[in-house]
Amino acid sequence: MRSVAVVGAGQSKFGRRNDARLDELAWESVKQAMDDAGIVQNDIDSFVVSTVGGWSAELLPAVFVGEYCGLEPKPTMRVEAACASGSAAIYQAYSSIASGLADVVAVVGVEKMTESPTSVAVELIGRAGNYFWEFENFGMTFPGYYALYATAYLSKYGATEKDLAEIAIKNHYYGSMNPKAQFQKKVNLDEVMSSKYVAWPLKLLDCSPITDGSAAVILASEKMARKLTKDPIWIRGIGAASGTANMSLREDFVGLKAARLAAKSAYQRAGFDGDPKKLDLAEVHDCFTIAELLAYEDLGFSRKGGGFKMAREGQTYKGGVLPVNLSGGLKAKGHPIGATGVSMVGEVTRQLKSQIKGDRQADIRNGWGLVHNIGGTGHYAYVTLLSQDKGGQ
Amino acid sequence: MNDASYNRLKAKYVGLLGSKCKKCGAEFFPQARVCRKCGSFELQDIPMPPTGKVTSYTILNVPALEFKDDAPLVIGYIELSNGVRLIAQLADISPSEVREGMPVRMEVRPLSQKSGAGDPMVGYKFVKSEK
Repeated sequence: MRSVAVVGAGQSKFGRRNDARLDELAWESVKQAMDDAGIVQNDIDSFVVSTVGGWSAELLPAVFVGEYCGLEPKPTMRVEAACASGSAAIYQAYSSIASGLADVVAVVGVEKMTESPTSVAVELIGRAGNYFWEFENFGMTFPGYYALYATAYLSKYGATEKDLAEIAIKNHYYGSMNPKAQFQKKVNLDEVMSSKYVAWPLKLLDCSPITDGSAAVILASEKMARKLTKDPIWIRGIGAASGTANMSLREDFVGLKAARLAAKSAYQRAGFDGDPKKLDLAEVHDCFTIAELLAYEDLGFSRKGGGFKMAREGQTYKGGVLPVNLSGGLKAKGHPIGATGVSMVGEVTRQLKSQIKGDRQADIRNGWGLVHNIGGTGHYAYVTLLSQDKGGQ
Repeated sequence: MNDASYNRLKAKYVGLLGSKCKKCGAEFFPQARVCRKCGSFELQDIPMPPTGKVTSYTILNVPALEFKDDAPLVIGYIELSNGVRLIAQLADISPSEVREGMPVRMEVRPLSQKSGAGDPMVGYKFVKSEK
């Protein structure tokens, strides 16, 4: 397989973006990513658009976005893997470059969610499970699925709702420094603990918001990457796995098997042993605070049942074992579901190039970063390892 | 839910109809055509046992829109006595009463207050039981 690098990244402001349509949102990121890479549309061999959709009238978002961004007639497709759609699109783009089919591929993640009424959004996201067996006649919602994990986790390991709150506090702290974040404000323990229960034991401030936003990255083969930039960030390993549609078929509710499998596969490809001290930062999928704790364990940053202690001890702030979600995470940065995975890869790329302004820039010592992106409740999982070092010969 | 899709599902919703592998004996709900344990395609329909225990739960203050009038919903992750697990509403219980390990049994109930008009759609819910 050929080596693949990230050579450009862009992201729109996340939040309630009534000022922009889906295609206009996408362009904000595509323009930034092309400028960052020093390329124009003609340099791009194909583009992949990550959108879950269902919110807007556009059934064919890839061509809608492609026309507006001047990318037509390049080959394209829309990719969907729920909240991991962005990583799925990167997986697709990576595969076409690694295989030799393309040299430069644009990945565009975009989602416009806030113009749907919240009840409609809750309903659409609630279908991200097994529609007939969990949603249609039983009323389950997406926070409800993660709440079942939270109940089981807190009970089995003796963690508390305060441990979950620590995740929200940390991610809002870093989000407060991110000008592209939906919530650029800190929250304290009282605010989190007194926010309303949505699905016990998860409260409103345990949940990521409904967001409009886009993100884009440009991937390139080694030959093109060397021409375009002096500091490409290499995709050293990308691993993916799926989980059962029915939550009831899961082995347990204290971790996500698909995430563990995706990590194992990415780690093997990259020759990474899983030691968090060898990474400079990680962006993990904190759609709910409990999901970040599960991620620490599924990724091997802590032993099983030890994730909440990392949160309690502040080990995932800068200066700890491994800084996690310096972007503010889904929790504070926002979660436009199709854009999230692309935004995570863009963030780690910019972090590894020390391009972040202010205190949320990680200390780059090893030149390695990790992206963990989950779709549904562990229905899809993608783990991507990025490095300044190309590896190999 | 339209009538056709409800009619297709009714035997499962009302009778907890699942599958059993003829080769290794593993049981599944919902019905399966491939055994997740041994890979066999030889499975037969059997009803699941109507008793079990709560292994995790949540109180849904904001349920799906159709269930707005039923909020808060008490949702249990239930392990049936044959080891098969499913997600279901708990009925006749206040949110403060529910506990992990609590024994429950299946009862057929209207699925939501909205389905009370005309011919109600009914299906499984679980209630507290003595053991």
